[in-house]
Amino acid sequence: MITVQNLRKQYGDLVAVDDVTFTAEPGRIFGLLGPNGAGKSTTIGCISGLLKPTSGRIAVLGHDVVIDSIEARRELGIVPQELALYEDMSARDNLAYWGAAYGMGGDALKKRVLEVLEIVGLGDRAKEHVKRFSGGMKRRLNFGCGIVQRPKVLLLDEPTVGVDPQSRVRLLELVRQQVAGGACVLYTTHYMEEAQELCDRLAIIDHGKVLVMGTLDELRRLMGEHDLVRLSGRFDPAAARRGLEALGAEVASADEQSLRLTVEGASKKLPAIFSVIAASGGEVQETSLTQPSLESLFIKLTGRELRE
Amino acid sequence: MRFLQAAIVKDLRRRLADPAAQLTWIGLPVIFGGLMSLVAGDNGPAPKAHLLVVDEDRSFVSGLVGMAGRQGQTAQFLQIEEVNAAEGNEKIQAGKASALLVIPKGFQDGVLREQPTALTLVTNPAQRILPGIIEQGLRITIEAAFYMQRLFGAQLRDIVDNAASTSGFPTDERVADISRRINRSIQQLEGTLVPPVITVATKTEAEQTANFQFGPLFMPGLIFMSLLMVSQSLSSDIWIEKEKGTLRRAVSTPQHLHVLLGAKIAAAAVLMVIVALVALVIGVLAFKVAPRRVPLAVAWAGFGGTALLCYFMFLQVLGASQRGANMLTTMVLFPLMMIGGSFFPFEIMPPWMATIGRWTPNGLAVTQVKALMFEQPEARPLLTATLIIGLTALAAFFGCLRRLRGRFLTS
Repeated sequence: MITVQNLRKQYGDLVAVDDVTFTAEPGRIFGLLGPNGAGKSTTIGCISGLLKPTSGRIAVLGHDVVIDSIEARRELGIVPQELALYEDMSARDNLAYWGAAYGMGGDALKKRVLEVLEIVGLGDRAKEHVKRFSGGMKRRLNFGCGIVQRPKVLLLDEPTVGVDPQSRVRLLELVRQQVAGGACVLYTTHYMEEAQELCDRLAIIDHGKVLVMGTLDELRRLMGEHDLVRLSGRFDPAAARRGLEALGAEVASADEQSLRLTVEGASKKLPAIFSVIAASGGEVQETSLTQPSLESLFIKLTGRELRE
Repeated sequence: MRFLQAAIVKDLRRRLADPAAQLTWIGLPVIFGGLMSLVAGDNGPAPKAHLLVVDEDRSFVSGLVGMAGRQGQTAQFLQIEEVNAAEGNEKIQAGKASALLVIPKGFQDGVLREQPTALTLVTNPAQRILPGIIEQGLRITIEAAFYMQRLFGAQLRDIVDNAASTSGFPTDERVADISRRINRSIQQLEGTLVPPVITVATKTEAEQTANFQFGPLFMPGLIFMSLLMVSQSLSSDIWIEKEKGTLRRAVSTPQHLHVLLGAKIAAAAVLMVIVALVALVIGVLAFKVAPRRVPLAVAWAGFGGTALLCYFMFLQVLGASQRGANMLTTMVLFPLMMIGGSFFPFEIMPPWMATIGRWTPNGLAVTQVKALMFEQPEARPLLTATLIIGLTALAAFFGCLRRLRGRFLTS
């Protein structure tokens, strides 16, 4: 279990994480969803002991990460965003080294290394140098190095960045296996689909603050039946905003080239939306309509796309 | 302990995965040494000092000075050419000789009658070793002349005065009388001279001559040139691990930071010992280093090389970027190589530079490895060097740890 209470991390005047509080349970996946620079990796850094929190308290299975850092770290497995591997060593040697870093050794380590190689699908490439691996294979080995010691708590910091769809499916399956084994997983991502597919509970984070938190259903309820409408073209933002709000739409963002709004039953209201924009002197060149999702919730909350 | 061993093995595996780098560390100094050996002609004829002599006195004693340079071992290193003052000045200014010796008029009288007199030695600034040999040789000759004058001054004055008054050779009776007086003087001094103190001086001279051979002159410096390159190269690994993310991952494990850093240094120490061993084997085969001296010399080189790694590692973590850190270590590497006796031996440096260089960490290490390889090492200087190198390396290690715990990992 991970308990984070009022976590704050500050670098000079820059507040990277501000008053973040959440609890991740064993056998569950807790997701931190937010764009790049939102504070997800800083939060992971504080939990893993790499960064010292400015204030607040973090405990891993009851061990305070500042006061009892060695014991806290003993329970943790980490899969960092970067490929933290020795490319001039074999897959087997990489796994053995990270296993030894958690105090494993002898036959138990050798057996576990072989087991993990099979789990991540690299059993037949065990002796090969990592530099010869594809990006997807490296990602899987990176994951394997995080679970070699059978951690009770697993921190996954954007583990699927830059991988092909096939490897992504495989990695997500590996995460589910760990949860099925009783591990507590903290998963950070900026991929909405991944968060929706994997996480039992989620916190949407931006500029270091948690905006909303809950299960997927709870978060969807926050959106209601509001669809997300994206329009691009030429607009008079102020005039368009006035007209659209009169229609009952909620304008998340508006500028001279794009408009984002949430509105109930958007498909039926599209002709009225186009009329309002035309009347305000604007011109629509492209339209997209998305049903309620985490992404539309994020746009509604921040006025920005998740990947911006 | 288990992790320490795993971390050492990990770093060694990574190094051995790139054998070309290891060969470069050993190969570059070997190539450099080979070239220097060819230039210095260690296997060919020894370089000779060219001494120009202007004899303005043209006397019996001034002739002895010239003769001294043509006798025994000195003749192997010295080529004497008698010239007049104008010719001598012209040649030395043109750099065509190692030194110019001017024996002034009245030199004989000065020596025999204990009157102040001075020889002038002009050396060629473009050369270092050869004028040094001449200067040393001249000092010894003057010292010998001083003792000769003290012991046999009266007899020598007789010979010279008699030759001047008779304008020819002395009579048989005169020679017999002088010989008898010289013999009596020797008998009186026998207790002091046998075993003669001069024998010890001669032996020291023989060792000094050996110092100008390639092995003792260049080999210790070349070993540390190699170790300097190894340590600078290995020190950058801390940045490589940081950029890769493996350092952050390692810090997130339950291992202490000093174990992680210690393992890195221990792995480097193993490599240093291997490099030093290869260099010492070359020393045994090519430069007559006694095999019994190898173990201690290798141990010392390993110790010195590991200390250099600690210094470079500290500099690396001070850098704001990998590029900046590498520039910083390079800025230290080359001056240290130059002044610390790795590129130019201390023997050919200007004295002020050699004095500074001998007190640099590299200089201390080079001086002691030379003593361990070719001379009789003395306990006190060895202990002093060990303490200075060891304590400064320890300070660098803790400085590095402090920096790692601070901004280095998170910046």
